[in-house]
Amino acid sequence: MERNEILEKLNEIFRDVFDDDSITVTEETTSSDIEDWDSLTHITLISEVEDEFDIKFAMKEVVGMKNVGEMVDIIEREA
Amino acid sequence: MAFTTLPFLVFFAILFVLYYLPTWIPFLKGKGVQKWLILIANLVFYAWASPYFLIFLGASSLLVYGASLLFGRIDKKTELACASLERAEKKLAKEKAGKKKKGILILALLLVLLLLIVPKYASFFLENLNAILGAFGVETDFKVSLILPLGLSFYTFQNIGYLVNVYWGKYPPQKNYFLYLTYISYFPHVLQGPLDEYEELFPALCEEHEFCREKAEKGLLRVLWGLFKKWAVATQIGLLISPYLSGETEALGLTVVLCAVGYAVQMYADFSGYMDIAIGCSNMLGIPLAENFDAPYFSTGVAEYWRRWHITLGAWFRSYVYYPLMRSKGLSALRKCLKKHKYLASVLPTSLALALVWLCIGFWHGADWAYVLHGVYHGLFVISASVLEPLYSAYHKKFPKLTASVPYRIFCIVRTFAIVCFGYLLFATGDISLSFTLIGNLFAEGGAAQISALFVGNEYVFFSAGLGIVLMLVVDVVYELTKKKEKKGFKSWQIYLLWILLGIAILLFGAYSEADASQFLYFQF
Repeated sequence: MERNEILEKLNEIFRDVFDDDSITVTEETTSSDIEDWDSLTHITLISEVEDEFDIKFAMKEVVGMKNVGEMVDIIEREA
Repeated sequence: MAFTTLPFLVFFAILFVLYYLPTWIPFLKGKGVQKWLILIANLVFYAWASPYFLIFLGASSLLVYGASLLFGRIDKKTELACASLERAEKKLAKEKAGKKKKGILILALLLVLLLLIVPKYASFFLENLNAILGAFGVETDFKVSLILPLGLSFYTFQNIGYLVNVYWGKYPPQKNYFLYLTYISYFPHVLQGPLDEYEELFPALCEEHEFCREKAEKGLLRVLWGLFKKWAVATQIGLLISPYLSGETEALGLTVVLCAVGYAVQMYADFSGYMDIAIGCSNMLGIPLAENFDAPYFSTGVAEYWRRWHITLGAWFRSYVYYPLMRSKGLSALRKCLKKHKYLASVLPTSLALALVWLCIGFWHGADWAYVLHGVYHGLFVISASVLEPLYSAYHKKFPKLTASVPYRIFCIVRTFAIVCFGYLLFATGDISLSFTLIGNLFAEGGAAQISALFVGNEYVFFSAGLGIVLMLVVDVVYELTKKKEKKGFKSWQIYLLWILLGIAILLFGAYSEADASQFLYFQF
């Protein structure tokens, strides 16, 4: 799957999880760029991404992901 | 050795000079002498109160160090074995190694937690056991009296964080025990935190740091600011409210309110003041530490408050308790079961995990039901905020102008502060029955007269605490208003003014205050 394609799908998931259609994620997007992205929504987001791409993030990835770009890297590698 | 005592001042002055010496002596430069100096300083600092404490620090760190080395060995062995295996066999070998590592992790965690639980909670468990047996007519008097080693709760958590990360494969294990000990026993954080992540702090500890005037000045200013908060605010307020919180004098009506608000300010000045001294000292040595406070009393909700108060403890519980719980088989299965009901699938597992996390946070703070209840109290607010989130969201969408206005924001800040203050009535006494007496007296008459009587003879204490609070408030308001702007904080002339004010205030409070400033509130946890 191409990075752009992954990013597009991620954008949909982000809009759905944060219930905000104005969100447009880029590889540089971090939790500080989205107001409601806290530890509670982070886990929901991770689970939704896992279900969508049929992958399983390792715990070190769940706690260590710095931005959306790193998430794309993992999906590209695992999916 | 408390930060506010003369021995620490002498200790740090000697360390500061010795620390930068190797960078000026050609044959010592680049030899990594500084980190060993830090290790020696750590051990002297920690053993100052009692060398007996070193046994716990040594045992806990050795255990974790040993277990982490085993993880590394198993990973290496599996990697080598997998190189010559087929895909299916590879999977089996990895599963077998995974099970072995899990077994070691559970055993190591149990032992490390046992080292924390026995001295901290044994007496509490026995007291409760006596009470339970008493309820069934069996009179017992089980007793145990153990000294709680300073900082045990903090370094146990740092040990666990490191161990779990090596288990997850986030970084390789440290092979040199003494280097690991340098990290875990680092004197600015060993007694009260901040809970620094190994991967953040360790590289800075090992690096050679040349003397930097700017860092030293900034660090010193931060130390002075911390001393000011401790001496001018925390200890002064302590003088006023401690007789009521210890049960020595009964507080009535308004005095209970004074105690709650006073304790909130005292706790913040005390704990954040300690952090300022710790971070300032560490910065003077060129080593950055994690921030633990972000003007928490300006939070607009309880969940936000806990993201801004004792930040590293919240982050620790998030990474090592909340996330693993949410990713556990049980809660993942529950989420999948409820997949069709989006709201329930999100709220139910979250609430269950949060309930456990807040119970743990309560217990971590101390061995009394008062602390547990305090944890549950805050947990209830955080869980309700998560459950009622769709309602809040709809409310914000319906009244966007109102919810974005400054008066509404101020209302939310005051409401959150009031919730936190009421919670302190449960926490401040460290004794559940005393806490209930205080809460019961909240509407009793006679409070105004009690405060008037308290003022007489304590004018100096009221004046100094009031002045300190105003200065703290100004600094925090400037920080809160400028933290998101490019040009942050104070201008240089304002900083020089702060230097002068702090110097005068510390000299005055240090010389004339009657209070004992050598104890910090969080030492007991």
